[in-house]
Amino acid sequence: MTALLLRTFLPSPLTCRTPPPPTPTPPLIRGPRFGELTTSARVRLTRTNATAPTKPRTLQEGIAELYDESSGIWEEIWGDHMHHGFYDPDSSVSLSASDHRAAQIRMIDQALSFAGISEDLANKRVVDVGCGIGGSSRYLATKYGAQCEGITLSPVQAERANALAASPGLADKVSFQVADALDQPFPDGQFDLVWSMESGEHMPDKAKFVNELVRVAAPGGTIIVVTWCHRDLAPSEESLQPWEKNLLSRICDAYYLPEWCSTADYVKLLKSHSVQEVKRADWSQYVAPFWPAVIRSALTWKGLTSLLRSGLKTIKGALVMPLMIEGFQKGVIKLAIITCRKLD
Amino acid sequence: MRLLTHNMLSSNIKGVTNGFPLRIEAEKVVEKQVEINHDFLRNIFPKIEWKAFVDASRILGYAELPEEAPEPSVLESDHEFLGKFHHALLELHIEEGALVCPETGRKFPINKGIPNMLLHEDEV
Repeated sequence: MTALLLRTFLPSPLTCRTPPPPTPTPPLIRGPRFGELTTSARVRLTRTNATAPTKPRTLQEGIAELYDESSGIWEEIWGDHMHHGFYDPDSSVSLSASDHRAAQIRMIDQALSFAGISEDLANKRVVDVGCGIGGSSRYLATKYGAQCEGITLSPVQAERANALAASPGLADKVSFQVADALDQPFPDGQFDLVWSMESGEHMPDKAKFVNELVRVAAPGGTIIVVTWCHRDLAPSEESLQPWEKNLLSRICDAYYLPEWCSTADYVKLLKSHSVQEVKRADWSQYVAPFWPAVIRSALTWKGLTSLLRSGLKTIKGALVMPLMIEGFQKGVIKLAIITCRKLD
Repeated sequence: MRLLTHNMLSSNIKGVTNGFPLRIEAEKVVEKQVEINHDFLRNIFPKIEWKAFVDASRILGYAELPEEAPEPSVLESDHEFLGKFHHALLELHIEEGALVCPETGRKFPINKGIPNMLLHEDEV
């Protein structure tokens, strides 16, 4: 019944590989994991790596619009953390909503632990780059005593983030503003921790993104990036296989992401700056239950009615979720963590 | 937007050498009570650009802060000072107005307490 309902909205089979339209138009943007809203048209994705020639202003506007429209729906069903949960590899399939929330919180703790800084965050300054509705910032402030500034392209998210922070002991520790991660409105060397939890995939210019992360980090400060990457290329490879590019392009298409890069690309970019202790890991095995859970949540009564309210593009985004699972299973997509420390 | 945030923001328009501090144009300022936390204040104090902070508080109509930053030891025991510091840093909010780049005069709007620091294409 559900499948039939969804299929009536599906314009073409998932396996249909229509090439993207030839003319460049305002770029696509990603939605939250089970749906997104956009009014932008499609963009022709290029073959080149990170610095794709999409107009940054329009992509920005698109991302802002998207999150302005859809954050509420995500929050209703999943809460205030808009990132993968961290699970034990052998965890059972029947996890509850609160298990998933706990996993999302665990992701934050694991990231800090990986970077080696869990103990030192009291009263330290943190910038939350791509802060969503402030889940990470509020958690870092409440549990670790950090003082956090969040930036997001979405005015609605910034407002919601501030609203969620208006409680005693928290209001002084976190604040949120509308700003661009590629042009952070802070002087150099401001932050002890530069935190980017699943926002990197939105950045059309990875080099500039990394530049800014390093610039605003204080001497000796830590940078933590958790993001979606494609697999590293073998030394003999110039690019991904055609089938891999096709898979990613359908995901970019539905979720409106700029071109993906690999974990190795991030490491290379970071190493071109004055940083040390660059560490990387592939956490794909620890996030495996996430997408199936998002799909299940989309197929609940609440999920379905939200999707149907949202529109065709949201539904298309939801239908492409199996591609994320496929990508992970086939080793194309990785959930990567990359951390380093800025030189003193 | 609190003055704590103002003390951290700068204009990053291309070509600007010193975008800090941003000038303030306050249209609507509200006071929001926040519970005082002495430890927090003691920790944040060394990170505050004092002159920019005092000037900003004056613009918002609060004239109680000293021109010169006091010695950190003052924060150990002077509760009156701590109260003033707390009030100016955390309880004064610019709800509507703008932050102005000190070199170019470009205005970054503040709506519903949230500053919008997005740059235009030609400023990047």
